[in-house]
Amino acid sequence: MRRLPGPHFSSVFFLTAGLAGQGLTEPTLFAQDLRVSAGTIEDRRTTGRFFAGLEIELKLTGDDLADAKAARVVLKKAVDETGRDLLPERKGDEDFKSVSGSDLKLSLKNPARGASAVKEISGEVQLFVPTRDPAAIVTVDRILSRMDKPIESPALKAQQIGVRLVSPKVYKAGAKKREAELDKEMEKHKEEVKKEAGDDKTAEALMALVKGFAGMMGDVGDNDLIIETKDDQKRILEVLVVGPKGDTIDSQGSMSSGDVRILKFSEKLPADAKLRFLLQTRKSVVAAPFALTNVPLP
Amino acid sequence: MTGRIRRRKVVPFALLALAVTGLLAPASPPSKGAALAVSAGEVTDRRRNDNSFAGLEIELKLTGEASAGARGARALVEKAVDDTGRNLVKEKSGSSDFEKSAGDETPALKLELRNPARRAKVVREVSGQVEIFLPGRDPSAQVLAARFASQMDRPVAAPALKAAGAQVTVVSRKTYEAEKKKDAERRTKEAEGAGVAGAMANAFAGLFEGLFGDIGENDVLVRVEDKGKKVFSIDVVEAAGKPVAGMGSMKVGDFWILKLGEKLPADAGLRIYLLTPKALVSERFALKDVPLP
Repeated sequence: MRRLPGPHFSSVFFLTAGLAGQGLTEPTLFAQDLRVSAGTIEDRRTTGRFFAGLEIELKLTGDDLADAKAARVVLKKAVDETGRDLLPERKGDEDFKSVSGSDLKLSLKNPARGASAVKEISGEVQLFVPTRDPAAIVTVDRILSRMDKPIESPALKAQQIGVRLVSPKVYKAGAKKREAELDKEMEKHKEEVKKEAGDDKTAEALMALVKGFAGMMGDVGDNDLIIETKDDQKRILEVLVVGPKGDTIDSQGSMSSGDVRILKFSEKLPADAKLRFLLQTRKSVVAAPFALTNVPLP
Repeated sequence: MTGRIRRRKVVPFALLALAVTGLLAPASPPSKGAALAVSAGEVTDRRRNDNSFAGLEIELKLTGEASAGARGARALVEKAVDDTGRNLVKEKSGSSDFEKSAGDETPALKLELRNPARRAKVVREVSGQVEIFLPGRDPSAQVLAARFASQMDRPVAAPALKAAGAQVTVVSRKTYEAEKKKDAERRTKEAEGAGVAGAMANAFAGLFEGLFGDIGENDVLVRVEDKGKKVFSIDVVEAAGKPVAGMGSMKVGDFWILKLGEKLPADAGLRIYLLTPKALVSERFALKDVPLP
């Protein structure tokens, strides 16, 4: 499972302004067998301005992982042996990540140079197990016949999610408008970005990156599926295209920006292709508190 | 953290003695020294518990008169020790490659060392030698091959190249295509003779060819036979001498591919930079008590 939601341009800098919403719900279910241990640790220390920090990979084992699709970490405490608080000033990335990959990583502040261990890291690992709640999997059929109008789905509506499929033709026609909106938005945040980046040159590079990414979002093929969502509570964790028998039709990749995600396909989708949404619900998330102590520092 | 430079003694006494007794041709006079200061820039200590990609990196900033006009630089670390006494010199830290300058900027140098001790606060000493390539100091360090399109498939004739023991030939597209075809035929023949294993090897060769052998229609393919590694770089230049902005270059064996986005004018030339003794300036550096992050 890919990182969810995908890399949207806002995360480059709008997140830093605290404008992004957090996902829903406190889980009510607790894991029975989930163990957490530390894997690769990197303490990147620099006199430069960027990329400093302590990164700790978390390894998960246990029976509860069997049906889990994704996991995330909600950190509560991180302190080194000198007593330095390692929790980042800004709340870190708490998106769900694939449990099959090795990308469940904690991003912390650098410990003291002289510290030889992290005294305690504790919090909660949350697993997304969609099979635990029928409401966590919503399927919409005959998607190709639903272009350019809102999808009527009581199951999605019940979770306050709105979805509209946009045909490539209509999407391309709106390119200029979107570009103008992006320019306006970037202008609005220009000073903020400069402050964040530290100097004009870095700020310009960041803005160019955002612009470049937005350009990629404009590059859609005739077979691509463009999905516009309204999901204020960020319940959508994954969107898949499936065949009539429920088998996944693999895309050639995906990208997302704001409320739009694009699934790339090299061939035309079959007329009976369906869309499957995996949604984060209270019953589909199980939690496991964890605490690691005296983690040696490299 | 600026270390003053001590001039390197370029000609050791033993060689001087040989020269005096007439056993050696007269040595080139040492490059005229110029002020060069080396200071520490960004310091990054990347520490990992799996040791992959771990290490200490110290950026060296070159300033002073000698740094102006430098097209390349490299550093050789002789000593590096932290304040706990740990030796930071990597076991396999031999002579590094030259870092090239981007445009008019002084080349950015980075020393790659072992991680200092966790309890270390400073690098007590890091010292060695910096070598700078200043082609402006020696007319023989630059060779201009004017209108190279009219001299394809023939080695560039220049005394400086001969003196450096290097041969540079611009390969025409016709020759390239013919050689490519011959190579493909040879590989097919070999693969047929070697059965399934040969077919597999042939498939991989095809893959590499896809990666490296695909020369763009505007690219310039140059064969550089240079055992002494004296050819530093090759620029494509307009007739007036101004460098043509390219998209970088890559080397595959003896071949250099100069990537270009647009078709070159017929009168384009090549400027070949050669590492000659007069164009190389070596200076010692020593930095003390470099704070660790």
